[in-house]
Amino acid sequence: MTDNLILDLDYEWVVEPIRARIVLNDLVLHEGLLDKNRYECNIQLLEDNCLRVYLLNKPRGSTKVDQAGNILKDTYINISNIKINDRKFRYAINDCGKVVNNDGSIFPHSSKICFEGYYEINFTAPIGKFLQNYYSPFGYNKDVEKSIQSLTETIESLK
Amino acid sequence: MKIALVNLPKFDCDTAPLALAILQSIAKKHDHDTEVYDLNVDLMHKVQEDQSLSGLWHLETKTGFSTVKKVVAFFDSYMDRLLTADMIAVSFFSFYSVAYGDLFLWRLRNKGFKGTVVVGGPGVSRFLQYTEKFLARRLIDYYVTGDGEVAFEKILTNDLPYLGVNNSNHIAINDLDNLPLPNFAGFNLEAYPRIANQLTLAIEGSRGCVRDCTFCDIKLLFQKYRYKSGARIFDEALNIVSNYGVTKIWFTDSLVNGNVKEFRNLLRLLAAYNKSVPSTKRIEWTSQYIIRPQKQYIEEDFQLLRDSGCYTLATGLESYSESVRRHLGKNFSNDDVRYFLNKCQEYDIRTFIMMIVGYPTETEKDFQDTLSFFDEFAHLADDNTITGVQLGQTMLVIPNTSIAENKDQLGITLDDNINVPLDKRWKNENSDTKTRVLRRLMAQKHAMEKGFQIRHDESQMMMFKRWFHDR
Repeated sequence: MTDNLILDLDYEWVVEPIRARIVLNDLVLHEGLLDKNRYECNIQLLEDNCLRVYLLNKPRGSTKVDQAGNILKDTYINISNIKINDRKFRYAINDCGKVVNNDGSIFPHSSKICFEGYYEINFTAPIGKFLQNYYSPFGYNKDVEKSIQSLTETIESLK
Repeated sequence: MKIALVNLPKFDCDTAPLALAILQSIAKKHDHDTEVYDLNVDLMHKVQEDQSLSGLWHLETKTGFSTVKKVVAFFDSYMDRLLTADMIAVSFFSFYSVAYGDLFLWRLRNKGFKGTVVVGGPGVSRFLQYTEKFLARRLIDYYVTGDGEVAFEKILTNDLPYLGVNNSNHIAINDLDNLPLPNFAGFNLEAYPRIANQLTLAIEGSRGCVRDCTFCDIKLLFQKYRYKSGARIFDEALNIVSNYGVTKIWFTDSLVNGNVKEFRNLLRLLAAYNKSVPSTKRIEWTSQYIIRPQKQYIEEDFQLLRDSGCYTLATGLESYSESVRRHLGKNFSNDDVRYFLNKCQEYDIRTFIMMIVGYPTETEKDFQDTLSFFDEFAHLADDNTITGVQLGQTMLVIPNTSIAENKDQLGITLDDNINVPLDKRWKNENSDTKTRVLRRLMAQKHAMEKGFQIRHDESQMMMFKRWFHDR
């Protein structure tokens, strides 16, 4: 069974167009100039998966600032949407992701690549289960399997 | 004059009671001093802190002497202050308030309160037989049915008689834009539950409903649908932000998008405001919402929902059988549902779905159609586009609603199961109580297996088991 991946990226550049690499596990999904905002492909997910988006070039002068130091325009890639098998990652993009710069600095819970480096998110398949686990602290169902078991027993006893 | 504004238990409150805030505004307009007593939220906290007092929250069923004594003691803790008032205005939110009201009003007079007592609210309008008794026993001086604003003002200014005061001939207020802004001064806002960890205040954008669903009693309560303009609702939102520092809003409307034109106006104003302020100051809101046929939407509707700060729309789907939905009065198709939910996913708008299990025309096939909803939209439960589902307590036949009036046509007769409350104790060729309980439990199981969050608790499960047994 193949899995459908949609990756939406926002990006801007100042000096030169961005070159990027998008890698899922060992599979390079894109390498070269970023020339669109949406990348879509059919892939085969593993039990444990790692998606990386690399910003490969940010030469000097790629951040425009005014005299007060305020950024006027920057070169960056922002991961705005990850959707797999029709399920959106939403907040999990940030909460489960991190940005690693080439100088070794790590920014957990981040989805905006502002230096040469990469964004990384690790997730398990099936995606539905992964997202259910992610959202479970905010939901009503605390012990789903136990609740389902209890419901099954109740239904059987009442039939 | 010193006026005490009292909110009686019990209802699960999400925010500070709007009724008291509006009454306070009217009282202040006439230069009266006011004090707010929200006995509902106080009792809720008391019971949460000490589970051994949980019976106090169920006075309608726990009528034993010790519970009554404890409730009276709870009321007594307010009496010294209440007895200093000249007038006490009491809000009855629902049927459940009647049992508390009976004790509260009796104790008030028993403690020697000689001032004026006024009661109002849906619990008064809908259950007038009890209120009439309060009046006959001289526990109250006035009761107000229907919209309370003008009637309360008439009582304050002694401009009586007036329609809706001590009679049920109330007239609906058509111009909601001219009602005073709610005044939450003196409310202990910290006492109320936080939604997503933030204080939330309520705004009422409309009264009544544009639909006439067969099972619903909103029309009985509010007569016709009336609405505030988008500009007026926006003013109320700004009032809440600037005076109370609260940016989270709960619109209490039966449906926030009853008037599409004004709703769009409101969303445009909110969206423009949110764009102009830092993210920490942005307004966020939630409400009940009706799905409309796809052809009535424009793309901007979904952009505006997102940009205006909508974080959850609670919507009554009721059934995923089109024939059931058509019968109960909701004329949108399953394709409309698909369109709406997919758009919500696209624009990151979260939804909460409300359903009814065991509508009188619901056949086994219809029920299977409803179960198929959970298969079809499992992906939206996974990614939290559908944050939860309320399956309710199975279909109840509310007296005087259209479904109750057409009982004979639908072949509805009384089920002989004595453990079931009267309004849920019915049967016809499509279901009896047991069938509905089984369907309800099967729906919950199926939904949970598909990853849906279901609002339920253990006491509800015990209740269903109890209903299932005849003796």
